[in-house]
Amino acid sequence: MLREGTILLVEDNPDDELLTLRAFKKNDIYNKVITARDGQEALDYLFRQGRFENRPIHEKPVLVLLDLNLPGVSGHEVLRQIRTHEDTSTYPVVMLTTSNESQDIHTSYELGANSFVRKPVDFEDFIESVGNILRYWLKINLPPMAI
Amino acid sequence: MHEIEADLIGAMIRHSPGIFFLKNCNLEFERVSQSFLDLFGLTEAQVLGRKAEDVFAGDQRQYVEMDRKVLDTASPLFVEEHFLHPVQGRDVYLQTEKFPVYDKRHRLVGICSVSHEITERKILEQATHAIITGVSRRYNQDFFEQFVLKMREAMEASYVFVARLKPDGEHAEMIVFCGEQGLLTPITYRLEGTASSHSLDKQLQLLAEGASRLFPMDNELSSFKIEGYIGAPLIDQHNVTMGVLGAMFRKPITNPDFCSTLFRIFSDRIASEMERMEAVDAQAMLNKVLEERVIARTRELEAVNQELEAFSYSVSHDLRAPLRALDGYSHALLEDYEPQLDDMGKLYLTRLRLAAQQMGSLIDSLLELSRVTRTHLNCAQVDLSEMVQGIVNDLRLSAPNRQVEVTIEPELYVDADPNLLHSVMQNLVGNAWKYSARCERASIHVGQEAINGRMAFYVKDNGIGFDTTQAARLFVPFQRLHDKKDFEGTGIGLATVSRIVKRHGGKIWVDSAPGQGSCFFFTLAD
Repeated sequence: MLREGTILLVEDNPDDELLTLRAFKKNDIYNKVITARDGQEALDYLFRQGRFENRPIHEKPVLVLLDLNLPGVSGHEVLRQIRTHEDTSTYPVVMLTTSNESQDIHTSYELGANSFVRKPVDFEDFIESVGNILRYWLKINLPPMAI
Repeated sequence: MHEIEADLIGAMIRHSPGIFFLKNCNLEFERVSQSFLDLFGLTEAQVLGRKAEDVFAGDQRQYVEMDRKVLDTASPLFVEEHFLHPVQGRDVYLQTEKFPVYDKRHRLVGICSVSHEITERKILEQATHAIITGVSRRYNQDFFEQFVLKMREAMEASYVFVARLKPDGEHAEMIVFCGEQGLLTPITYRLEGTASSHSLDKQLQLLAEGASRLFPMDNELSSFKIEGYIGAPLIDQHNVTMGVLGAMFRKPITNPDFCSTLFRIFSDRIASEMERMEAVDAQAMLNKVLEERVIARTRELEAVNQELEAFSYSVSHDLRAPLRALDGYSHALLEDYEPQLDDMGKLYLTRLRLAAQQMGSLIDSLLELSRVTRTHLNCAQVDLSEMVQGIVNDLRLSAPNRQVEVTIEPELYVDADPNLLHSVMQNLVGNAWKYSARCERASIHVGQEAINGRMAFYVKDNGIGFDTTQAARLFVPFQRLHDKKDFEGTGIGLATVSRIVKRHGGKIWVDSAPGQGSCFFFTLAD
């Protein structure tokens, strides 16, 4: 059993969104998933503003899957803000992206990403990657707790 | 003595420019030439029948000794004499020949001395020497400065300058200017109506006095209250006047021949130095232009590189996303609609997925290739043996069933960019692994060998090999020598390897034959 809680998927490509959700299902993962389709939406959700003004305060994402190349506010900027704000600084953030540019990887870690995963083209590999990510972060890994 | 001879001697004594005298064996003057008397301001009465010490004040011993020597040895003597003129106090230089004189019965009766005054030549020589030593091993501005200082001193001029004609042909710009107190700030002046405009006609120009009255338009001559002026054109090797060498005197010029001669001697040297300096300046200018061009080109290249980077980035991101969709949806169809699909439908979808995945790896290879050019080289010492061992370990893990004998020479060290070198070895060792797959006893050897005096590394296999007439194609992107059906690959790996090797300043070549295996050699920096 995986830990319950909302997963925030930041993904601008609707195909990728659909296939990621399918990959969740293939791994028997039924957590609530909120999709933000650009960086600004992600920030709105995280900081309860705009469209997500009325998000219940206790509904904190247990995992953020963050794409890099987003329209408007970039993935790196979203990550920077997550790490800058006290409320969100400890959220587990996994970069899930197409890039394997060393500069992107480096910057992500520098900004405090917990993990960097490249989306494979082979969908079976993708199912496996997504399954591994979620099992690790929602089962094996102990989440940050209030102290 | 015949009469005619006596007349001749008399005429010579009175009119010859030669300074000569005849002394008897007691070294008393017997005959002296008019020039001799003129030189010292004496009369015959003051000289004849007397010895030198009685005629001249001052120490005469050295002259007496010379005369004595001619008598004693009965042989001629050539000497250069230098003394201060007893009355005028100036330097006098004489070139003198002394020889014994015999009577008709060959008895020694005295000596004769014949001299020429060479004072002017000597002074010119000294001045020239002073100027030449002053400017030797000096170039450019330093040369001109030393030159005008020495020149002014030698000529006793008030000012000396070297000026260059401006391209407008109406102005001259001094390169250097000096006065009695030393160097002055050079000035640019209008040529029209000036003394130096006359010097441009390829002729030496000398005005012994009244220069500022002759050229009332010449501000310089009037403001410096100049009497004497001398100017020489500076002519380049194409016989074009480049400028003027000029000297100005506040007093009338007393030694015009001397001054003209000095100017004639040095104007060529000045001209060639000016020409040389202009050539150097032109070269410097050209270098500067070239440098600026290089900077501009570099900036352009950087811009292009940045564009390439942005392009590669979007290729990486945007081209792969649709491929994931193709593969993902095909996968979904195969799973979710399996009952509705017949075997052909399933085959098509499987092939679709395969094609998408192939394009995915093609894009990755292209990215890898472009990365070689995009990234900076960060060289460090690399333990190549250890690197290859790691690659082989990975290959063994990926194909546990393969039996490949791998030997790696220990302690292969090289200076290279570790990431790029890894890509080289990954490709070469990976190829060796791949193309020896059909051998019963596959073996790979990695080592180094001195070839033409340079250390080359090599990766050798006993795989299928190929015809080396095709070798050049190997290093071109997308060129493959083997069918994809037989050996999978994108056809970009060796192009990447070749580009990396070249970026390190090295070379890559291959030795192979069908069925005989292949050996890839490469060198890195020289």
